Amino acid sequence: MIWLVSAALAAEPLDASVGAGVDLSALRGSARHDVAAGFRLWGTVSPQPWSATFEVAVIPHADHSGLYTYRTLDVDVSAIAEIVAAPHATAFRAGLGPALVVRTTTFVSDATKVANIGVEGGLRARVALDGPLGKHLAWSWHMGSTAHVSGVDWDVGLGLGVAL
Amino acid sequence: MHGWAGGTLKIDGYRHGGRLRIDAAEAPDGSLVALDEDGLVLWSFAAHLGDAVQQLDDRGYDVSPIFPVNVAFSPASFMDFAAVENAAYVLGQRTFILFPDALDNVPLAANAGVVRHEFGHAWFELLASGESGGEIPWLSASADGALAIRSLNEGFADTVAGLLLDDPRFIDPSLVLPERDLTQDSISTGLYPNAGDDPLASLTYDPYRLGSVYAAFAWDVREATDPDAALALAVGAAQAWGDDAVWEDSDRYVLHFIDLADGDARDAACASAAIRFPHLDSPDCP
Repeated sequence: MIWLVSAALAAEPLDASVGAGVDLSALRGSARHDVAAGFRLWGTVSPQPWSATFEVAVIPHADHSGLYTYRTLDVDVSAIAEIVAAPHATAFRAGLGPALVVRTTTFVSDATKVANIGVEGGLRARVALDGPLGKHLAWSWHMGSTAHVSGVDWDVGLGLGVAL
Repeated sequence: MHGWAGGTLKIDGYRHGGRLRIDAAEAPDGSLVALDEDGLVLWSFAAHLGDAVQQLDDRGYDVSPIFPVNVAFSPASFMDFAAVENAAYVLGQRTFILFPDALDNVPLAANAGVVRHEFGHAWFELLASGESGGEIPWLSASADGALAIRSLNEGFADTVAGLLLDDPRFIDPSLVLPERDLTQDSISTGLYPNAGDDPLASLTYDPYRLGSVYAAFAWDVREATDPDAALALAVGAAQAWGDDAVWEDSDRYVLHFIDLADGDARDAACASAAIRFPHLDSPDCP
């Protein structure tokens, strides 16, 4: 990761973009995957044919019943080293990198409120397509999977950003 | 206990899905906290089941033949359990099934009463048939007899839950059901399945109504004695009913209950039976 950051800081003149987008995630639970919508921030530096993408995904989710609400908030941070294929303006990226998966839970009922946090390391793989949108903007689509101690999460998302 | 996610529930057995593993984090006080609602449901189910088994063990009942059991979480099934149940026990298959998404607005974490009720079914099978798992002997009963036995099974399960928690409204924390209140003035008249009923009536027969009368009968005895005494009589009656193997007659359970009782318990059982089962003529009652 340090190498990636150093490489990114030293990379000039590199194509780069930052942006934000919406995600649809299937989050692994104790018995099944829960589907939840969230948002994701990304930043990519691209010394082709390689690139490095940094992501922060935030996925809130709540289960309600007559007596309690169970809220979860997943925050996933990842740094991915990618190989790039960009014969035209649109680039295809596929890569792998470390991830940190943080889940906070809050159980709320009339009688009690219990909050907790779980932190797990993991490995994230993703494929993405991105490209310029006009002169200053950038678009991005991705599909990814994060394997961590508790299981495997899946996500797909679309974003809009700024070309740097 | 083996926990499985999904899988398929069929008449001839449960084809399990993947193994369940509860995602959890350690709280500052050292306890483990589930990190998702499904985990909370599973954990509370396992904890309540463990408590129920311990309670019975403390009272000298051996329920070990029931174990190991499967816990199937949201299995696929041709039977539409999810429309009417959030938990069930499959007789003959040593399998609990949980449908956490069933019934709008019902708290999904299995509560103490629901788990004890479902465990009551497993215990009923053991007491009445002498074994856990395998072929159910009363499957040979007529359609009406089978429905009456379902009622008795539901009533025994409510009896177990109510007496172990010593709460006649044991199910209220999960689902407010006044008709399952064990202190209600219910009578059995008109609640039995009839041989003349059409097939649709059999399909829509509600076993809980007659079951609640059996449970209320046991609760009447508990009010005159104590929970352990009433439970012992219910257990003995279920065992004796199974030994009789007269499957068509679920009310023999009541007669055995009275026969096994003595003193205040006998008086209370006779008084209750006279009101709740007016058609019964017990030789043990004045």
